[in-house]
Amino acid sequence: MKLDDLKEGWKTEVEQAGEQQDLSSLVESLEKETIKLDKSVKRRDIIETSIALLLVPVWAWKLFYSASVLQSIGLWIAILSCLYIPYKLLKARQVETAKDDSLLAFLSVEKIKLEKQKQLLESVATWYISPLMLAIILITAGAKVDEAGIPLISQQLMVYYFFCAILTVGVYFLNKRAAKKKFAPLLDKVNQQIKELTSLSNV
Amino acid sequence: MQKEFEQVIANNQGRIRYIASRYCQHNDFEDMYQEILMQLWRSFASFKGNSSRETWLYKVALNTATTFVGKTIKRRELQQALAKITAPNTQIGQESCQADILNAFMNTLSDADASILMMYLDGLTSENISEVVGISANAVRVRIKRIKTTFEDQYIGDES
Repeated sequence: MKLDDLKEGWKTEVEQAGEQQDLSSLVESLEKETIKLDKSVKRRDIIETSIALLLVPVWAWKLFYSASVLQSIGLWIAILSCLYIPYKLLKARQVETAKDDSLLAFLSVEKIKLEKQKQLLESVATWYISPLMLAIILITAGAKVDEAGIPLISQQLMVYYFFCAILTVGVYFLNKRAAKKKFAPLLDKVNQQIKELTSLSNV
Repeated sequence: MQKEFEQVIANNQGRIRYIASRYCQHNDFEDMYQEILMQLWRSFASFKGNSSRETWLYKVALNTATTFVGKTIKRRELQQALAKITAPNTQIGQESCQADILNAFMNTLSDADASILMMYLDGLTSENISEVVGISANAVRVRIKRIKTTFEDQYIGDES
């Protein structure tokens, strides 16, 4: 038996599958679902950016009534973080376009995209958690200071910091886990595909 | 545009299903099938006819299938619409002996080789396949030759 003997069988099988079926409701649902999906992605981007940006004037306004230098530093860090976080998220989503629309070019772009997203999650401590936590600590600690500017940290504040620390560690590990569970296997899959395809080029 | 797209799906449902079944894992066939359909619908508007319709379809379907991750959000309406269609077999022609041989052989191939074989059986030229996959036409020809040899080695003397 030769491989070409299967050609006719293949053609018949794949061409029979869709004959005489009313696909209008399917295409209508496809259209609806695509619009819905696009809207939800747009909504997510707007929410992410607007929450951060809306907080900037709040922090800026608070700066005028800052209780101490420590609190002012905290507010400045919060302002800069609120500008930097959406920028970082937007930048991570920007990927260069493929040089053509072939599978190999598509996979190469996908690989860059996945590596960026994985790296973003892995480094969440440096660009997201640390600046925000530092800002929170400085803003709250700087709210009550003595004459020399030394913060007066109450017991409630200590408890608050303790819970913040737990939350920070939790967010850090959840993101690390997401990077490992979500992106690492997909990245391996894409790398494997690229390897297979490039090995074909070298025959 | 909707009618035109319906025709494309009607003509290519078997191909799309085959690609989805070849690449799916852990029973995510339906999700992958839906995702391929959605990506085809998305790119249909921008399809300018620079390449043949088969080439375009294979590009979109393979690009989607190779990077697919199971969806957590169930698209209920789309699922219902799909269920309304008299669903052909997930795996093509299980009753056919040729299809059995083809499926068994496909399972021994890597994803890249399987994609090339699908397009070859579908009558795409080496140039068309090269355009879809992104390697030279010559490399495609060499690969097809190797696939043929492997197939003949496995099924030599088999007259079924």
